[in-house]
Formats: sequence, C-alpha cells, structure tokens
Amino acid sequence: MNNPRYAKDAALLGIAFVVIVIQSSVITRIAWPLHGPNFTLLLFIPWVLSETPFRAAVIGFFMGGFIDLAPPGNGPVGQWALVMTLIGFGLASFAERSRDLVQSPLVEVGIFALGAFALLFTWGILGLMMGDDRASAKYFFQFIPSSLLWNVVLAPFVLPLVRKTTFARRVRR
Amino acid sequence: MNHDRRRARLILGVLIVISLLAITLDLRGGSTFSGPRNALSSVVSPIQRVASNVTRPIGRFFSDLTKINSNREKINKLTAENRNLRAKQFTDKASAGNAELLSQTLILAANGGYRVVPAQIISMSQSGFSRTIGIDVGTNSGVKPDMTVIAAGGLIGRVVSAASNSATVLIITDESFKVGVRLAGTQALGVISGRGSGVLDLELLDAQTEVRIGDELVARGSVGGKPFVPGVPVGKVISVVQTPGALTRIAVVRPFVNLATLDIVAVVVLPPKSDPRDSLLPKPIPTPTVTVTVTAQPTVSPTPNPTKS
Repeated sequence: MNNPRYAKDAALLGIAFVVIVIQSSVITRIAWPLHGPNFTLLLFIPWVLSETPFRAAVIGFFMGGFIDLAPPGNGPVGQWALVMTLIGFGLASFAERSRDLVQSPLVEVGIFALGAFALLFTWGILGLMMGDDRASAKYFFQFIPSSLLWNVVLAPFVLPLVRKTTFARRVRR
Repeated sequence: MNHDRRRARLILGVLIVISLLAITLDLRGGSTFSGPRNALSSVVSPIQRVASNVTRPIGRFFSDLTKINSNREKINKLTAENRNLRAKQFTDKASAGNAELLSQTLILAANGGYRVVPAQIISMSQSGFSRTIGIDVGTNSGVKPDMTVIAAGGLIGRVVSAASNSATVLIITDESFKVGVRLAGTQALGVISGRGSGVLDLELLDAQTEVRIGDELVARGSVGGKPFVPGVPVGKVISVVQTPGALTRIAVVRPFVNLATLDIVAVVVLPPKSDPRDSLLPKPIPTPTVTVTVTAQPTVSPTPNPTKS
C-alpha cells in the first residue's frame, strides 16, 4: 500500500483511457473489412488476466465507466461498466486458479478469445434485456464473430507487448 | 487469502450495485448524467479532435488500401512508386475533398433556407454497430439536442446530446433511427427506419399508395423543426417489397448521403421560414442532345471546257 503503486495504477488507467479515445477517434474511422480490431479489448483482457479479482473488478468498472461517459457514447450509462466489472472479476478469478495454464502462449490466446467473446456476448444480452435496438441479430451473428476474428489474429502480436509492460508483474509473483 | 476473496466479492457487489443504479437512473430519462458526460466530453473532445486531425491522412490511406484489396486488378496496377506519390499528395487531396463536401452541404442549406453550423466528424461509435458520430461543435455554437444534421446530399441524422464544444449525432442507418418522410410528387406519407446497414426501410402509411423504384423521399418535418426540419432530401427507393394484403407498403431506400466519405456535416440550428417542399432533391443531369446541322455550301460548278475536235 505505498504511493508509487497507486501512481503507477493511475498512470496505467490513463493509458487505458488514451487507448479508448484512440479506438473511437482513429481506429473505428478506418474502413476496415469486417468491423476492424478493438484495441480496448486487446488491452483490457490481458491486463485483468494478470491482476487480482479485486483490482480487475475496479479496472473494469473505471474503463467501462469511461466508455459509457466519453463521447460519442450514447447507450445507458453503466452498461459497459457493469459488463467490464463482471468479466474483469470473472477472468481474474479464473486466471488466479489456473496460473500455470495461462503461461502457455497458445492457451493465453484461447483464454483471450473466450474473454472477448464473454464480454461482447454479455453486453449484447444486457442490451436485449434492456430493449436496446442495437443488440440485434446482426450484432450477435456479424459483429461479434468478425470482431473476435480480428482480435484473435492480432492477439499473438499485442498480448506479448502488454505482458512485457508492468501489467505482467503480478502474474509471476 | 480468504480475506482477499471476501474483499474482492465485496467490491464486486458494490460496483455491480453502482452500475445497476446508474443504468436505472439513465434509462428513466432526465439529465442525471448529462453533467458528467458534458464535462468528460469537454476534456476528451479536444483530444479526439487532435487525434482525428493528426491521423486522418494515415486513416484515409489505410481505408484506401482496404478498398484496393477488394479489387485485384487495381493491386496489380499499383506500383510502389504510385503508392509513394499517393501518400505525398494525400493531404492536399483530403483538403480539396473536404472543401467540396462543405460547399455541397452549404449549397443544400442555402437552397432550403436552413441556418446551419458546419462541423467536422471527430469520432465514431466505440462498439462499431451503434451508429453515432462525434462532431466538433456544441452548445457554444448554438447546437442543442434534437437538431437536424445534414451533409452533402441530404439528411444524415439528429443531435442526441451536446456539450460545450462537441456533440453526438445518431446517424440515419442506426437501427433505432426513425424519421417521417413524404414521397416527392405524390406527397404520400411514410416512416423511414435505419437497418444497421447501408440501406433504409420505408413504410408507407397507406397501402394503396403507388411507389416505384427511383421515387425520392424528403423529410416531412417535425413540429417546430425538432428533431427534423422539413424538406431535407432523405433517399431514393431502390426496391419495393410486394406484401399483398398488408396494411402498409414496404420499400428499401438508399440514402442520398454517401456514408463512406462522410467527413463534413452541418447542424441545422434554425428551421426555414417556409417548407422547401421537393425543391432540394437532386436535379437529374440533363442528357445532352447532339444536333448536327448540315448546310449545303455552294460549290464552284465546273465550266465546260470546249475541246477542239
């Protein structure tokens, strides 16, 4: 519980917010085939996999809350926060119980894909429950598969980068 | 360890409760989160604007590459030298393209008598399927929620929220988007809904109305011009769905606005004094008729040359 640790956490959250802003102002504006990659997921999932469930839930809440409130967010405030809190906690709890498994790069990509699917799917289900028109069949059958494809293709290149940063310090403790 | 788990479950519970509370408050309507949203927008929008401006040439370059990928012949023709030249000329082309889009948008606004505030798109929706865009004008420029947004060609959407220097626009292809329209010429009424793709659904209220491919649609306009001002061109019918016995007629419409090249838009801050009716619809390009006039020219007639016999 020392101050440098909190300063580091705040800096990492700052980086996460910058990634979210870049995703909405740069990445989504490029005319990618099949919707394109989502760097928010590529950062969030490996990060929470290397954290304790407590910290992962808090990270998910802040990142999700930022997506909910930052422009051009239009959905109900709290939707992303709730989903990312739950998935962050779930993934971190899973990773904590199977640390040896997560060390294998191939399994790591598999867990990443599973986590990304769980996040997007839960968001859609929550949208359906709230009567959100955007959680349509097209979202479940087109957007989720194409988004997963992009992110899984990029995961082998991006995950080691994220792991090599300070995020991974808690994996090998 | 047990203490950690208890602490983790406790924080999870607290965060879930906060999120659910936020969702409930936001879904009930009102302006509970407009303050934090506007405050965050004021901080984030300038960053988005800078990021968008700095990376626009790169983004456009990649966008062009993805389009090129779909055409093998083009790839074969493109040499490394061509790509370098394109990259060098890209900034100039982008500026020229923006000027053209702005000019077309302003001509549309002037013809319709709309008072507009031009804006540049600085962000697009995070999730890829929710079709909202962020623009670089806000309440400081007179932009308020429920204002019509137009682009070169016609209607593009409506403002859903506005901060001091930025605003969020729900665009016409979003699945939750609906606008009342009139069929140009017959004045039949209908409702256009977004489909989440490049085309729109048209539902005509009267099943007896004749609708044909190529028929054009304009916005009917709302009371007080909010959220839609009258007369804005919306799109053209590209196919008609035959539904015998149905109470309404259904057709598929392609919007006049080219969503792929969308960069400059304009927010209508003051509706026109009178409904421009169908006058803003794109004029058909007249087919040139070639007329050849043949005029007989008097020629020198040969004079008989008397020959000696």
